[in-house]
Amino acid sequence: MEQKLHAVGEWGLSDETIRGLIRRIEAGDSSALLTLYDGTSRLVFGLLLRILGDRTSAEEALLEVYTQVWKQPTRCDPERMPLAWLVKISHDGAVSRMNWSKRDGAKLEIARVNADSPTTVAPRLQNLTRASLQSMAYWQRVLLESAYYGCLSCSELAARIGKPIGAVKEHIRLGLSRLGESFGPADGREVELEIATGGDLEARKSD
Amino acid sequence: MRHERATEELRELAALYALGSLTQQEARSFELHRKQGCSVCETEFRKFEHAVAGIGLAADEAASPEYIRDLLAARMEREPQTAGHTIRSNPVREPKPAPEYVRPTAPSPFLSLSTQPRSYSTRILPWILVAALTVLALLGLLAYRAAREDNTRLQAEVSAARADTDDLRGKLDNSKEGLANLEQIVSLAGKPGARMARLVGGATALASSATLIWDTELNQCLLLGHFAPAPEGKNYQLWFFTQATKVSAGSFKVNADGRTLATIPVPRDAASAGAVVITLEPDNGSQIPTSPYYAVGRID
Repeated sequence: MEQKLHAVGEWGLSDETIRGLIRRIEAGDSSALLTLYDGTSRLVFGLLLRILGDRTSAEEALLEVYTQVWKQPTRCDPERMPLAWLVKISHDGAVSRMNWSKRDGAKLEIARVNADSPTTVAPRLQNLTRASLQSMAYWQRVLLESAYYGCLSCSELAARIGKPIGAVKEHIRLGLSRLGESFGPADGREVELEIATGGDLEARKSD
Repeated sequence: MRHERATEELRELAALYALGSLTQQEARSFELHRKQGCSVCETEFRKFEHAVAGIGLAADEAASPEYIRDLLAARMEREPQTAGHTIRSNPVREPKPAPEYVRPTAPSPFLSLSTQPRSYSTRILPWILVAALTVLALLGLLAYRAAREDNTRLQAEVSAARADTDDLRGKLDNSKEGLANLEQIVSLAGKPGARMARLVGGATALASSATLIWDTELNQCLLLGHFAPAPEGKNYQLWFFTQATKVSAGSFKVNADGRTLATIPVPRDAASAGAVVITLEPDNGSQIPTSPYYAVGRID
């Protein structure tokens, strides 16, 4: 049975709502964790599925992520964006599960994000980051996503695309800088930024 | 050394560290630098760490199965929260044991969960029980098979011993019989008035021979010899020849080896017999010899 959407509003969960839930979780309120799960698990599960590649591993990892939130909610820094923390522990968990054979077989390819794919957790933030990634030069996005989802090092990336490692590092730094600027400061205060949509991505492969 | 301001090189280092794409050596070096309290590097790292999370935020959403939520609720009831310690700054991270690079991640929540004693023991207990039962079942099966093999082996040994016993008993019986026969022969041969005849095979039975010891007191004789097995429907018949007549003493049998040891009554009218003859006659015997002499001997 697929998950139902529990109590997720049109605009998803705000940072303040998530912080409030985490405070309740700290106090031992299990219903707060379930509310957090209902509001965020679609994003976390999608991320885990993208990294791990199979549903069974992703489901196990999903359970472990929220168990970790339940057991150690104080690891969430209240001065920082709580959803970024949740994404980070999900990514860390998935990477620790990812076996080396899968990592070695990771392909250099852009995630096929469906433009119509729903964003229910934090729609504004999710759409902002998606737009930022889509506006990047082809190789910049390939390198960022391959490093993030495929756990590839700079030297591995350089070897696979046949470019100098210095160029790879430069692409990554610029890409991350642009992404960071696009969705606000690290303290979670979201800001409106103009995102250059960039046109046809395929046309940028020559960049 | 603490930096005064962020340079491009420093930003690059922080970006790659946040993304986990530095080599192991580079990551350790940067980590050590952060530990030493370089606020410039810490700030740069925080910015990029935030940006890295943005990549994850862009992922497609996916609905998870409903049972995961149920499992989570059950796990919360079963497992207590860990006594908390708020981590206000990014924790010092142990690099992953990667061959080429280190992911600058906090100690994995997955690894830490997997080492929670209660969770681990709860998960592993059924498997331990299954493994123990499997081992016991295997041991039982092996013991049963070993016992069955022992039993089969012992039964074979008992059967062999019984066969040996029967064989020995048969040999013993034969020995006893042979001894008794020998005693009878010795006793008869040494008896006063005993007469003997040595028979030799005729033209058709050159390999045959026999000895007859006649106990004139008891009017019986002991015939021992070796003959070819009698043909189907035929039997050997013993004759006492006197000057006037041929007196039948009856038929006798030979065993499968052609041996014979028979005590045969001697008719009274054969008292004056000077020779003994053996012929092959029909099973029911003949009044007079009807076939060539098979063996013949003179009575001394």
